[in-house]
Amino acid sequence: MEVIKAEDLTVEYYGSHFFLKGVNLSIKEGEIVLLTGPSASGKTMLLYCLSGIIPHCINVKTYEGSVHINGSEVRKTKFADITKVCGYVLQNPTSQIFGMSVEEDMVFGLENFGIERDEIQKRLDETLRFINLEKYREANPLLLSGGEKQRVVIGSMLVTRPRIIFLDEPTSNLDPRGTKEVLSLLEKLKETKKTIILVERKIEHIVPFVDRVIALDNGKIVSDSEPRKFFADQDLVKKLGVNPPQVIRLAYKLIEQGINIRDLPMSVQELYSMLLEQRGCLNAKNH
Amino acid sequence: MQKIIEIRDVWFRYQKELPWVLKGISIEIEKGESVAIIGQNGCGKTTLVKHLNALLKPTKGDVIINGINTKGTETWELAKFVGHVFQYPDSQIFADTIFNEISFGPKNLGFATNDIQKAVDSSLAKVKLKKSLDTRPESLSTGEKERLVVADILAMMPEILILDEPTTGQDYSTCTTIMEITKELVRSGKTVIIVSHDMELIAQWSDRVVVMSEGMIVKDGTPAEIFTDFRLLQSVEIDPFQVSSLARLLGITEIPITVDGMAELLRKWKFS
Repeated sequence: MEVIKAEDLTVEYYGSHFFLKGVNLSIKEGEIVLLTGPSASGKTMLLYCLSGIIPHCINVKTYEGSVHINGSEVRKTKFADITKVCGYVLQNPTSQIFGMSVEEDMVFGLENFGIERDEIQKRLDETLRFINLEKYREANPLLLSGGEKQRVVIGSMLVTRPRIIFLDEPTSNLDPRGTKEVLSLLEKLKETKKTIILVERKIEHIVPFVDRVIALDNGKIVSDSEPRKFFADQDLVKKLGVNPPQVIRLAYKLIEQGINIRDLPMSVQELYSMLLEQRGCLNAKNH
Repeated sequence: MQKIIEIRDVWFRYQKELPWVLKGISIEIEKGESVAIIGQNGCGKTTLVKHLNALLKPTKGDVIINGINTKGTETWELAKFVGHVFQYPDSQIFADTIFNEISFGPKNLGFATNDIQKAVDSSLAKVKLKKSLDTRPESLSTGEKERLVVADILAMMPEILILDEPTTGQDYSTCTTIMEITKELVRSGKTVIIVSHDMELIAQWSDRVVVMSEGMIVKDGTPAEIFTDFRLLQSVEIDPFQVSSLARLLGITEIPITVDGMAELLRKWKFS
């Protein structure tokens, strides 16, 4: 089922060189989509458009074409209704935290939606378990580590049960420990069948479970395919300035060296199996 | 070689009643070295580098920069010698045009008008920022802003350049550009100290890696020594490189840290 559709979307900000030009895409329920491309290629702008932040919260100079979320045209839908379906996580967790305790921060959205107290409590308990922060429910979120703060932000968003989740570089301000915590949480989210659209530069951890890579350059979509196919186009990957995970770059080299691996690996484990397979084949031939 | 930075048993805490942030740090850095400092947030990396231009002074111990103890020195006296690029470019940009932004440092250091122009032009060229001098900094992208703040510092021609997480939030090509700039500086005899979480860039560009944990230096060595020490990496919660993990799975004893290194090993492995 299609949850997001953009048709001939052309958007331009006031007084800035950022723009989107003729963007067409359709995203199905449960897909995990990675947006990539050089800086200033329009990734964040596209996230804003697909989540209705543009034009509801940011005025733009040009807005042509359309975006549909769950079949409703964004411009004709109240933003309050969009927020019931879409959750948004920004780069810097501190800019999204304002509660005095983790709990208070997380229930804010639900209270605003007018949800019953019992239901709020139920969802809160469930979400705290999911983000693994049960022991910090009464803690001041601003005193937590970067990874924990970002998990609180993700929790505050998840508790409202959005069907579509947007994340704009959720790990860019985090250290390796925090990055791992947040990206593992995303992997866990995949199992919940939510639709996830994210911009992320540390792709090594997420490439194994991403369904689709959409690449932007200069405000236009230049590639839209499953990760293996995207990374197979080495010229495009290079042109976009994307640095593939080490295993993929190693696979490029091996292919160059004439080592016949069956496909581009998305993880260490995959490449390991492929190499063993290859050695098995060679040994079988030699005997 | 000439010692340019000497840190002798430095202890530091922000206030008397607060815990120690640095606990007995000792390290010597020679002129022309390219040193990376790694470790999780809160381990004291930024606190340590803030000691190098006297933004912070040790509670106990000594920091000696080019023979001068920072105890009796002020930040402005070291500004010409030590350039510090902070974590977030937006917090450092304040002028209305690129020219005013970059020329601020040289003007304050009393450069002649001619030299100011030269310093602006050459630092812009070094960071490969091809923008007209009257461009408003806020119209730049994040990557361009980062290069602008690096240019600000380069214009003052410091001997020591400190970059605190210069690649955070930058795309790969900006990261590579920043690292190329630092390599060029090192080649010309400058000393560069980088604080970063980008392990691959560090392995590729730094001569020496200092690993910090809980206010202490836990290891100081070459990238190969640091990134093949699985036990150390695990203790500081840093993942080994994918190629290192693959080598270990395959039972290869010589652990590589680069893609090229692993490709070379596999060339031999295949036929063994």
